[in-house]
Amino acid sequence: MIELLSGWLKQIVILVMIAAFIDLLLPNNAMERYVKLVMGLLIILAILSPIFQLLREDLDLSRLAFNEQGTDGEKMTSLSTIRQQSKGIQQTQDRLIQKEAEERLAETVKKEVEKEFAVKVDWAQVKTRSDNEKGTAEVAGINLTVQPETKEEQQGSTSTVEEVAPVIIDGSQSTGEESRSERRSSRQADWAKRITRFLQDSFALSANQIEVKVLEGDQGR
Amino acid sequence: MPYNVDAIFQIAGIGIIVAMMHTVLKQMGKEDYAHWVTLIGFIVVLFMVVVLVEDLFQTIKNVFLFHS
Amino acid sequence: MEIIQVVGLGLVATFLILVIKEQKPVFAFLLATFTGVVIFLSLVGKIADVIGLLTKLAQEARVNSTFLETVLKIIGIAYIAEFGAQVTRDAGQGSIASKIELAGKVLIMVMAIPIITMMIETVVEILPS
Repeated sequence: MIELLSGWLKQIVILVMIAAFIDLLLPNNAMERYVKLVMGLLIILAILSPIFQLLREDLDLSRLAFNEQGTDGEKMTSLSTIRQQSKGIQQTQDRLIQKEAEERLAETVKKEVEKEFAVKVDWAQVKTRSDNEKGTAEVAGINLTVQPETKEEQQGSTSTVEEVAPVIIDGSQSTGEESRSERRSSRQADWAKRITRFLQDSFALSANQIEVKVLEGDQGR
Repeated sequence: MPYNVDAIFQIAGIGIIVAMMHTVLKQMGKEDYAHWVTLIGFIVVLFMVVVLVEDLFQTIKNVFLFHS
Repeated sequence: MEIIQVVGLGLVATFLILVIKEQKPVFAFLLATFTGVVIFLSLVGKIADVIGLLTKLAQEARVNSTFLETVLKIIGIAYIAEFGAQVTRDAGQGSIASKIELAGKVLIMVMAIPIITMMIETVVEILPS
């Protein structure tokens, strides 16, 4: 701003000096009035030049902006690619966040299940489903593989099984084998049902979203 | 003075000589010769002056930025 | 000392003109013209120096070079018209001298036309249409 002003003032001062020199340089007085008129016009032009410049620069600016929009299409495509890249990065980040959340949820589920039931969780997997419109995520499903702990829970289960056992042992050996497997499967189903219910209560999920696989202690080893 | 100042004396001398010749020829009764001599002298001096004036105009053109 | 040379030249020329004028007034007139031209030519170098200074100033002020050119042309026209008018006035033709001055004035106004046009354009551009 101050440079603009100083340049303007310098221009005016130098023009006035030039006018004075030219007045001195003139041969006679007859032409003096004409030259004075012209020099006065020049000085007025110099005084008005900032406004002039402002107007002209305004026009230039708009034209320049238009040109850039018109000719530099590459910049626009690069902008769109930048946007695409940012979208991709955003998606990657979302996926990473989702994965992290799934892992933590799985850890939590594992802990909770191990605390609540006397089972050993082999592996837990939590699937989440993110809602892009709302920007929220919810648990879509839980996969759980548990293994009953062999000591007291085995006893507890065998006690329940032994209650049932007399009812079942009626048939031949083969049926006994079958019933044992049935017993096992029923025990597994019982475990699965209980864990499923627990998870259903604690995570507010429907039953078909939870898949619990119970391994028999012998089978796991 | 970069210019030939002696041209002034040349012109003055030509003028004086032409005037003398004019007077002498007039005294001799050769009026037409006298006029011719005056005319030739005038042309010579005019030529010098015109050359100088042309030089002046060219100089003014150069100095005052007439580029046409 | 240029001024002594110029004054000496002028005095010598004046004496010579006085001498010739008795016999041949035409030669006296030519001699006067010649002397004037010589004096002016001896001074034109100095004027060129001054004009160089003006040009430098104008470049410093970033004045449009067309303007300075126009102004210098106006000064040149003034010089030439003044010279011609004085010579003709010395020759006793006052009317021709005044015509030459008129022509000089008109040509100066013509020279000023671009500047005036630019002024008018500026004013018109500044005013809201």
